[in-house]
Amino acid sequence: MQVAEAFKHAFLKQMLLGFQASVVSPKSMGFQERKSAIKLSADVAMAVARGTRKWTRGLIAGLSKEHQNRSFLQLILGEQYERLMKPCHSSWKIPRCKKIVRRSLRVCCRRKKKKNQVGVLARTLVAKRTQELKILVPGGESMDGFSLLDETLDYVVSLRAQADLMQSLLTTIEASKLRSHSKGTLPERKASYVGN
Amino acid sequence: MQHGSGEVRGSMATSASAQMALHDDHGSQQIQNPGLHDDFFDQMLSGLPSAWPELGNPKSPWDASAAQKLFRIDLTGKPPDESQPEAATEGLRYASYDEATMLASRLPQSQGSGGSSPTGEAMMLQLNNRHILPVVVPLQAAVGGGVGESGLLPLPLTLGSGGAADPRIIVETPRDEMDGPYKSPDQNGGEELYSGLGGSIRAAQAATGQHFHHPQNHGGAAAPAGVGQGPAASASSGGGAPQQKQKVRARRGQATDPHSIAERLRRERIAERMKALQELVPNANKTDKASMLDEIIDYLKFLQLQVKVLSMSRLGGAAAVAPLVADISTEGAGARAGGDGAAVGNNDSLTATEHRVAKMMEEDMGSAMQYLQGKGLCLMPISLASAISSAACRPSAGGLVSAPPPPATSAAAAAESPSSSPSASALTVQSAAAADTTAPKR
Repeated sequence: MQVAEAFKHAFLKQMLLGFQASVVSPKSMGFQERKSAIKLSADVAMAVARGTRKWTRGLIAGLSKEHQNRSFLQLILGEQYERLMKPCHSSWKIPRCKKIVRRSLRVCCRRKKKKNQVGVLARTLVAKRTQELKILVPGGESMDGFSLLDETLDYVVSLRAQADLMQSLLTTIEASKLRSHSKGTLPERKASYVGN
Repeated sequence: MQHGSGEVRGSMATSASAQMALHDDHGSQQIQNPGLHDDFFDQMLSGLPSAWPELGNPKSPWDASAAQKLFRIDLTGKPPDESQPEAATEGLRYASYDEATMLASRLPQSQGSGGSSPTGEAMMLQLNNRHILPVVVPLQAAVGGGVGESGLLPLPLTLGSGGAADPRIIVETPRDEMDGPYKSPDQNGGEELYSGLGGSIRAAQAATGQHFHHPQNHGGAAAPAGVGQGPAASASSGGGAPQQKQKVRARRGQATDPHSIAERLRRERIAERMKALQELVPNANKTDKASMLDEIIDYLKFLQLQVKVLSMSRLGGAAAVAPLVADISTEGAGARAGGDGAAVGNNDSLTATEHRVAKMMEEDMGSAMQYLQGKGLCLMPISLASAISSAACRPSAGGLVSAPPPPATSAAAAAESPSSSPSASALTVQSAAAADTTAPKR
């Protein structure tokens, strides 16, 4: 896999900072609240560690749409937040123009009664899946076919790295907890198992 | 000859047999002219599978006979003093055939995971083209044969040089599967063949010129178009994709307007990305674009779900080590708001139980389960356990929750089905890892 070490380090550091900033602790938050806080931290960390890509911008834009996330984002990103929030108009106009042109072409073809059964079927299948992919990939609506695949590739790599890193972090924490507990320092730690 | 090779490639589906027919020709002729490579002959003759059809394959009679005519006249029409360069030429040619046949004989053995047979055939055609085409190339200025080949023609000139284009990848990877001794001569020999053939082409050209005119008349309509398309296509594609050394050639009869070329470039880039995604996503042996997109979508959803589940866990205490210790004590105090006494009393026994269960899990899962059940415990998914614990923390939780808390706060508590989900196995694996103080396994 082509995940760089720098990405892993940046991701972990950013995520820990995010945890501290959002004060993630089991006693102050409920289950749902803690889950969304952790996910927010993890996503922001992934986007920041990756740098500037179309999907990172889309991800942060999507996250900032929720009001409760905005303060956290501003805290974490600092001045980057303002820069990222500047809308890039050009990237939205191009696919819209393409769609209009394609729609007009299709109308013209329909008027000419041109029917290519097999090609149309394949194209609609691919188009349906492409649409679904656009929904899944953050910021995907404003991308054309090729850049969508490009961003998907990058996003999949980053997601995989994110999941692996979170998992390893979790196991490390658990291992360290168990080790410190098995040393017999804190007798009342049994409850920690329940959540893990 | 060009047209012949085009035709052969046109019937690519079963054309390997046609290629073997060609090889057979030269093999039989070669017996008369031992020349320099006796061992090659032996290997070739032994390497030819018996299943291959004989000469005169009805699929491509024209090119088989034309090839025979070509090479027979080469052999017989030469005066003896010219036989030396001719033999050298043929030796080189036959060397390529030897490689082709030996590699072909190795292909069925070395073809492992799927998709090798089309690549094997592609490679066969590559090797054949390597022989056939360099003879013809000087006659046509452009690489583009313009006879409807599917991108295989440019390969001979770029063979041996690294590159990211897909056809090259197709050619290179089967070669990696081949035996070592055949790898280096194949790649180095390719370039040597070209240089050698380049020298011998001039000698062969004069004598066989009239035979090249014959196929050229057949492909006359296509050839000038091909030649015209070649430089134009190469210019546009050279400007568009400078890192690709091969030229984008237009198919036979297609217009050379920039739209179709741009369209083709775009399609190739998309295919490249799809291939990269194919390597990344598991279970990606689909050749269809739609099903490949399906796999990508499913994998993406799976990864997103995995991150979501991981964020449900107790990652919150990861901010630092010192807060971690404090966190442990506080969470211990907080999480057991519901059920104190029973949990605290069972702590030490639970530790021992948990270690024992971890050890048993390593050996036999079934016995570990039975042991747990004997104790009145069982495995439960981590997310569910955390949900229950947090629900237990909340005083405003429903009446349902108040009863289970005391057993819930012990490890592996509730009367759930012992179906081990990945998160549950992670729990026991983690405890096993802690017990063994080995590297955490997942």
